[in-house]
Amino acid sequence: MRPRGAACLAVPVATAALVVSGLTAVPAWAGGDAEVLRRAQSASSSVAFDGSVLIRWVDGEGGGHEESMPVKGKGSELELGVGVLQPALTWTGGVGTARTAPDPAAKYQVRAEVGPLILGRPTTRVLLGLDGQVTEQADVDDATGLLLRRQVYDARGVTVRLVEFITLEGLRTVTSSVSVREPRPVPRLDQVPSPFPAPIELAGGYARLGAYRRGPAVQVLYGDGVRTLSVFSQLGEADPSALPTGGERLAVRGSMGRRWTWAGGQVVTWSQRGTTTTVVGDGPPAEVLAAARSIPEPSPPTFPARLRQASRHVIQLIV
Amino acid sequence: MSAMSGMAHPGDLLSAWLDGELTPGEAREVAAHVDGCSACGAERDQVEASRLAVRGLPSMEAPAGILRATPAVHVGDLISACLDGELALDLRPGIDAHLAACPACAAEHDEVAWARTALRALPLIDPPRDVMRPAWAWPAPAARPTHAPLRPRTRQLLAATAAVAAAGVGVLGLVGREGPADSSRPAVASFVSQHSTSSPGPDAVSGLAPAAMPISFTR
Amino acid sequence: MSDDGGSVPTWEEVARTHGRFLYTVAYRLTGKDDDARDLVQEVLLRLHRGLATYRPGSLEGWLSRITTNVFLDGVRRRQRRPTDLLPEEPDRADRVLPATKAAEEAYSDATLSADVQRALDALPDEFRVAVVLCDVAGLPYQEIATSLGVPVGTVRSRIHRGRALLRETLAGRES
Repeated sequence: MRPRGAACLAVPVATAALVVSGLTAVPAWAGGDAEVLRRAQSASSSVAFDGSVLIRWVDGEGGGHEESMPVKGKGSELELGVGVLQPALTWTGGVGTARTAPDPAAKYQVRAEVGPLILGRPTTRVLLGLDGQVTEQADVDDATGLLLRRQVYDARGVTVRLVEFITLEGLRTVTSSVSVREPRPVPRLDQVPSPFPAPIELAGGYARLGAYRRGPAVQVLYGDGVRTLSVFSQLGEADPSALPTGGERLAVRGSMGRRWTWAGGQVVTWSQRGTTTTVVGDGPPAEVLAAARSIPEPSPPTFPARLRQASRHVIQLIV
Repeated sequence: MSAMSGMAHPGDLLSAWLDGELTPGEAREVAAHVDGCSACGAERDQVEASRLAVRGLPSMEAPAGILRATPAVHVGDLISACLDGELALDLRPGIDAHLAACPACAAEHDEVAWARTALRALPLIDPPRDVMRPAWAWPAPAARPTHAPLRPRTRQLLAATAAVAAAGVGVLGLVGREGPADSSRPAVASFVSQHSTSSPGPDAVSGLAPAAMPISFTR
Repeated sequence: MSDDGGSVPTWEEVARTHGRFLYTVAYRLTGKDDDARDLVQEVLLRLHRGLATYRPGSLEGWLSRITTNVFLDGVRRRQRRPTDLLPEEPDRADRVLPATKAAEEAYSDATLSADVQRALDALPDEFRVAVVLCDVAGLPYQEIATSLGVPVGTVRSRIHRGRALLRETLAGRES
């Protein structure tokens, strides 16, 4: 986002008021508008619909990508995409975290205002700001609470990700006769085994929400109220041949790691002291990187720990 | 513009009154004043004449000189009408004469003409290509072949590790306290999928839609 | 595409032949690329859904009318829920057609164009709409009056005052 510079001609009343308050190019944000976002959280399970979404995202080199897919909301489950080799992603709910995510207003400046018409439907626009800059914009359907358009911006104000409905039909309230499919339970951990680090909070206001066993790895889930971030830890130095191709090499806490962009966010992987850490986050690149760098170093694994981990590792894979 | 002097003389409100834009109460007050005030009555006649001309109706015998005769009556928005060619031709000499005689209106004419020129000189803007190709008009996203996801890799991984395991526990670096570093194979695509389905952010659709695509990575 | 005065053009025809016009009017009204896109998309959607009754006459006048209606709908919705300051949104630079003039002139034209747009943005809505419909869309007063549902005298007065205010704003910047 460009700050208002000399190219700005007229000084509208609004901006004049900002200057008076001592802030330049920073809008006044009201509190309490996060309620609109909370509504959006549950909307896709309270209303059934038939639609399709468009996803646009920008990779690490600034290249644009675009994809569209059908989306069906069936109340208790959400069906996204369809493919010959890749079946639709059917989702019935998250892992259920140990802690509730923090209030978005604790980290972001949240502001709701009248939004544009999207597919002819009136919306409410929620803007999320960080240090006076808009970092995310969500347009929520007034009638159903569905999030019709979401845009994530980086520090320069460039859109890094856009997801929006391009068709939306068959909206109806959910009937109780929709079948409920139980998700396969993900084993929850009350304690993260050593040597993996699992701080209570990461840089950028990400609070620890829960920890889960994922095969040979442990996932610690973080959230800031709007975005989530997961830290996957496993024993061993990363085998480069097992990593996805491409990506960007970068330093994380003195170790050489790799970073990739995908349609939904960022991934960073690095190894340190016999532990490999993979961070997956929804936020813009700088934010995910900052959070990754704030993870403390793992302690060197003890012999019993390696034994435990190794045997579990083998068993997991052979089974 | 006519000088405003409260409700004693309606001034600018005269035009609004003639356009029917005043509230009933205001209209009554103005009408009452105009009936009793010869100066405003004369002004009403002149303004009425020019408005009729603009609307394309034949003007009521208002000689062109009448505007010059009463320089206190400034021409106001007739300047714009004149510039835009929305004024009857027979009124134009009167306007021109007034502008020659009245420095205030002449200055106003220059300002407004400048703005009009600046506005008309604004370029057409090329729309971004996708605006004219709205996504709702694309063919429906149908089943399309996607590149195969994780399974082949997992099979590879299984084979490799099984082989390693069979070769003996020592290979896993358990010999001695600090053996050679274990190599781990972070299943990055898997992790991305697991992360996305754990708790998808502000809403389920925008959080999961990217994960429903074949997960591919770029720089 | 001929203006045969009776049939309704499809949204594709409109996009193809009047896309630039539509987007330009939308951009001059809203001052922002994102809002202009939303406006244009809504206009095309209304055409697509057959929600706009076509009346014979100038096609550009008809399109301007729909665009203005959508814009004013948004203004009215915002008035019902008053918001104070609008945050600054990421803004794309004007997509200006390449100038054939000398570089210096073109540069000053480009900055003047941006300055004029900012001055337009500062105008109260009713003045901006009148000025844009007259000087950007090129509509005659009567068509503007029909679009807005106000008397011709009102249109004339708004155009005049809008232009005067614009000049004032731009003059103020120079000093």
